[in-house]
Amino acid sequence: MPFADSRGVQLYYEEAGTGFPIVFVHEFSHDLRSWEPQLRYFSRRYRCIAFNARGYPPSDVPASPSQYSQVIAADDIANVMRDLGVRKAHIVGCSMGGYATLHFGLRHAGMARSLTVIGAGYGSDPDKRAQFLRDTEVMARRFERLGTPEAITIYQIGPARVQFQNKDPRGFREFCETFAGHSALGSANTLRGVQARRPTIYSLKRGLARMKVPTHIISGDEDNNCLEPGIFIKRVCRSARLTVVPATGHAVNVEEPDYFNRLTDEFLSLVDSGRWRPRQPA
Amino acid sequence: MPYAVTNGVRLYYEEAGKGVPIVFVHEFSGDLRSWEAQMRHFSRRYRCIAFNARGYPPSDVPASASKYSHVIAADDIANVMRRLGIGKAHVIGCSMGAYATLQFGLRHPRRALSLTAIGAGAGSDPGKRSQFLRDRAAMERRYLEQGMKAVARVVQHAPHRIQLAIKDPRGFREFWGHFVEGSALGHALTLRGVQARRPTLYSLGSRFARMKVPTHMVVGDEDDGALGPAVFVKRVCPAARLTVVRATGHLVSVEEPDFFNRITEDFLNLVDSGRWRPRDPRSLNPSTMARKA
Repeated sequence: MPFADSRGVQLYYEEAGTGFPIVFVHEFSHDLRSWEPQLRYFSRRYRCIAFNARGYPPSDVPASPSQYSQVIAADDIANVMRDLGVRKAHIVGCSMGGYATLHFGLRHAGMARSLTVIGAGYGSDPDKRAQFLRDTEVMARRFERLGTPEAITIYQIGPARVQFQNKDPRGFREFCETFAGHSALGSANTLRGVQARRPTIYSLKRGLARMKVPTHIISGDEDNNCLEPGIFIKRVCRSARLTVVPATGHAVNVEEPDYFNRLTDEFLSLVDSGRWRPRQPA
Repeated sequence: MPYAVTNGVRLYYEEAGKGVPIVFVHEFSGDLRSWEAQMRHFSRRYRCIAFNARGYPPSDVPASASKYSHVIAADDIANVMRRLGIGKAHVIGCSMGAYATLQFGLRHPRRALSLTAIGAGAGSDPGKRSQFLRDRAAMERRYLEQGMKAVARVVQHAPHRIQLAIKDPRGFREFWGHFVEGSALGHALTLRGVQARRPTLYSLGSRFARMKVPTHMVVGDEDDGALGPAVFVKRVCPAARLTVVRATGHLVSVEEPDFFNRITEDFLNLVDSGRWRPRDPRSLNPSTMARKA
């Protein structure tokens, strides 16, 4: 099995295709398998790399929450790239992976040709911040006490997941099965180290206003916790464009793979052609 | 030339294709010619009807502002349909026409198969409401005193219109070439009768909450005046879905015709197949992460 080294932590990855690289960064309740439709599609023209975050076997599962953080997650992307000899790539991330992608753009702008950020924003709403932190800790304890299959029964039919269940029951079943196989320790540590401690989208305002990497923000129209953060990024960051996808929840790439591939293909082609440009100033 | 007469006012229309009807309702700065890309695409499978609003020749230009209002605009859609023997139609509107489309859904829900509203809601932002009304009044005077060409020079590079100029200079020239052929009086009276008097979308929340017509809100991500209202309608109306279109301004159907046609076809197919459904109430659970245990 191929692993990339990130300061002593082994991260499992898969590769497909040749060409300019794309790195895919998965969300909390998925792993690299959630990028299957993207690996199959984009490998026709790109070198596609997907890896499992720390905490997601076959990647290592460090035992302490202190070994998990937003900064570490962004640097893991850079370290996987370095290990594979990739200097610059399109980065595509979903949810937790979308946050990591955004932070990668802020910390390692020179290594990013573009950023695609799907469903980033959970925990950003100031009115629900305390509730989010409580819910995060409740979930972390559920993983520890109940084990993954039992812990996730309430998570997988959350308000931004039921769209997937309604639209594509076969895909939804697969999602629940792969999620149930995740490491309970890895998931609990990720919640405490990353989700509970990461800065909100709104607190990134100054960095986003200066960031010049071509960025595509994507949100489902029923993803209540990500819609406003997505609009916020569009408004403060001149290099950001925003797509909101109709009748769709959280993991847009998993819920609407064809539509997502089409949108993303178009964005990457625009950037690769050298014709992308930032928003016209007022 | 074909006209539909509505309460004594003649409205010019064009038709293309056969099948389930679609009625197109144009925006303030356009006329039915803004729908050319849609008429050509959708006429392959639908009966497409586009008409010029009152105030837009060859439609009549009534001389009094009292003959123009958002209610009259919505009823004009119903009357055009009646004259053409159409019971029910998909209704698609842009900007001012999108507002009329939504009003049509509220006033005549049984006559709408679906509603598509592009860039609706300018003037809704409560923080900018008085500025909006002042700007309307100044613009009305400019129409009457300086004429269409002078207005075009000012408005065609507005923050939510500059995108078309950047992306598609040919389309931009055509659009504003059509604009300057319009009636300055018609535009001024439309501003006074419709834009300045219509209720904001935010004030219609309880009515949208009850409306059951399948609705697609479409808005450009750089259309700052319409983005908030579109999210609002999505949130209050269980029958509404929202598409925000990347790097796009006000006139999504003119600026991105292929993309607009594709997403509209997806939506109409879903409705026509009988598989459309409203929002799942479970998705309104206010939780931050999971369903409450």
